Amino acid sequence: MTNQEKIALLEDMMELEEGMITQDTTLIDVEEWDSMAKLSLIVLMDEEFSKTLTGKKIKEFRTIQDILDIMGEEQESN
Amino acid sequence: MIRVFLAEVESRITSEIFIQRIANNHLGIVREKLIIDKNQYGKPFLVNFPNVHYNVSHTKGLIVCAISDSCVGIDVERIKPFNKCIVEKFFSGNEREYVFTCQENQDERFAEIWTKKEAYVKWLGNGIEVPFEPFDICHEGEEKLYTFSHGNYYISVFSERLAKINVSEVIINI
Repeated sequence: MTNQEKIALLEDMMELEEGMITQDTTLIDVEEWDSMAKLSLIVLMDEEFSKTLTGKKIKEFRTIQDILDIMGEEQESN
Repeated sequence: MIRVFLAEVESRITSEIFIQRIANNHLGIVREKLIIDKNQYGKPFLVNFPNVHYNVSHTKGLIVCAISDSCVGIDVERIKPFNKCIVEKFFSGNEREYVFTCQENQDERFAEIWTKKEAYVKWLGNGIEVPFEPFDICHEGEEKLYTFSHGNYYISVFSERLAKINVSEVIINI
């Protein structure tokens, strides 16, 4: 999955319009990054990436890039 | 007395601007006296008015603020289709049963339980976030919770002294 596709997943998860966030976006500036979004991210990581995300880890996130890093290495789109 | 202020907003308005507007227009607090600080867990309070407690919550389209003479927590959530996995993974058995007990009104029931849980943790103000430290809102005292709907939104207020106090809702224009 490319970073753009991962960002699209996050935008969908937070009900953001396309292009509202980038890799450099700071999470504190995203109004939609609330408790519901954090829970949704745990579910998303489990279902889409088979990864377990803890609350402690989420509290360490500062930017969108931090989330992308946890999702795994960027893959070329086919 | 607990007063709940609601404002329908088209674009983002910060909590600080909202409490400034309320303080100036409804509490008689002049701007110069309004100094906001945060406790060690990030819950804001008014430095010069230790007996005026407030808490703000916002979601797309609506911002709400509870003002009280004792500690208070508030949360607002828009009624919308929800991620059922969140309920299955993070809600208590009682909460799951309440949300899923019937096919109808599940979105409303989810918003109701969610706002109750959030209002409770915001009342605590000790840094706990839903749902990283699981708890059952059904065990935290319904008498301390006031929940109501406003259009397509659910709003919950949690306060130790809620049972003795009337909640008044004030809709203000931004």
